[in-house]
Amino acid sequence: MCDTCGCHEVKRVVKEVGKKLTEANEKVAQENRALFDAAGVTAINLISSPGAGKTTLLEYTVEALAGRCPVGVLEGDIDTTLDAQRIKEKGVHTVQLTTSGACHLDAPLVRRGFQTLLEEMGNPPRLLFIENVGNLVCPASFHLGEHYRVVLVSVPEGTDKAIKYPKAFRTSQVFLITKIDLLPYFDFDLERIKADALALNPKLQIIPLSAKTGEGMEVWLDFVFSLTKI
Amino acid sequence: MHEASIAYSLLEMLEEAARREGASRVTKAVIRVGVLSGVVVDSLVFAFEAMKDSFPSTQETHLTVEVVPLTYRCLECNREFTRPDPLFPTCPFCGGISLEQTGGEELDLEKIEMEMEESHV
Repeated sequence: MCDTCGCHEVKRVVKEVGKKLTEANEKVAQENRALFDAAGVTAINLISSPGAGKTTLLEYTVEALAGRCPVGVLEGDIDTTLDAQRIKEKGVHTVQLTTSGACHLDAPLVRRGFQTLLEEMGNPPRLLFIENVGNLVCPASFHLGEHYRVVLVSVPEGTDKAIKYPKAFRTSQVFLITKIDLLPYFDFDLERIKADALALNPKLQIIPLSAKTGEGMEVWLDFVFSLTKI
Repeated sequence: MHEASIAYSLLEMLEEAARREGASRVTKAVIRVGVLSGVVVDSLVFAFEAMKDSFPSTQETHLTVEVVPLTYRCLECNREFTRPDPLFPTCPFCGGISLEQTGGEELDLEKIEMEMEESHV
């Protein structure tokens, strides 16, 4: 009610907005991307369910990259520094990002981790690997500013994991089918999961591999090495 | 997904808009949610209703959700069409496979209606 004349006239204003509700994270993700570009860093975000083999893959990858170019790693976990310790043992600068409950990394956390990494390294890495929290759902919806997103599914997880988690596959550029040394022990249909993944994202590069036996790893490493030439 | 934190971000946006315009209340908010956005509309609305009293201006905001279907434009015949899923889409008009996705992943605040109480001199 108007406190001058006691009337109930109200002024209505309609605003056309057109803003994303995820704007806050998107903005920081774009800033991260600009920071990476300015520093000549190529950032790769690894996403998967817990236990698909992200950390093991990284252990082998950073070893193969030793001496080629500076590498930095951001490890995302709800708790512990176990993964960061494993990578540090390979002699690579690693920062552990502990979310204390959040089931995915977000752009602000990655920004802070990258800044810590820069302080530690002195110079920016050529390749930045970001190992996300083990989760095939939420990381698909949160941009970190990465250049590439790599999704991993391991043989024991089952053939239906691509079709069940469409967003993870639609938003990734590379799909690694890991632990293929276990194919004889599981009913895992390699051709079916590839077909499902391509149905969701025809541009996906699919690489079946085993970090343990080395099978398929040269294709993955070729991809990684090609990133250092850009 | 994270419907509660998305609902809270929305409420924050509404409160900020009200403050900027000098409005006392946000009466209506319209959001567009694409079917492939990863958001469960019921959960989002539930969270919004539960947290409305986080801010004075949003206590009575009426939320409208426009669900946007998965929409493509055929780059060969230029017609638009919707599909129930994203698997191997082809144009139902000309059979073309060269398509551009034009809708279905939105999570946008589209429109806000606010009330300012007029003071007459």
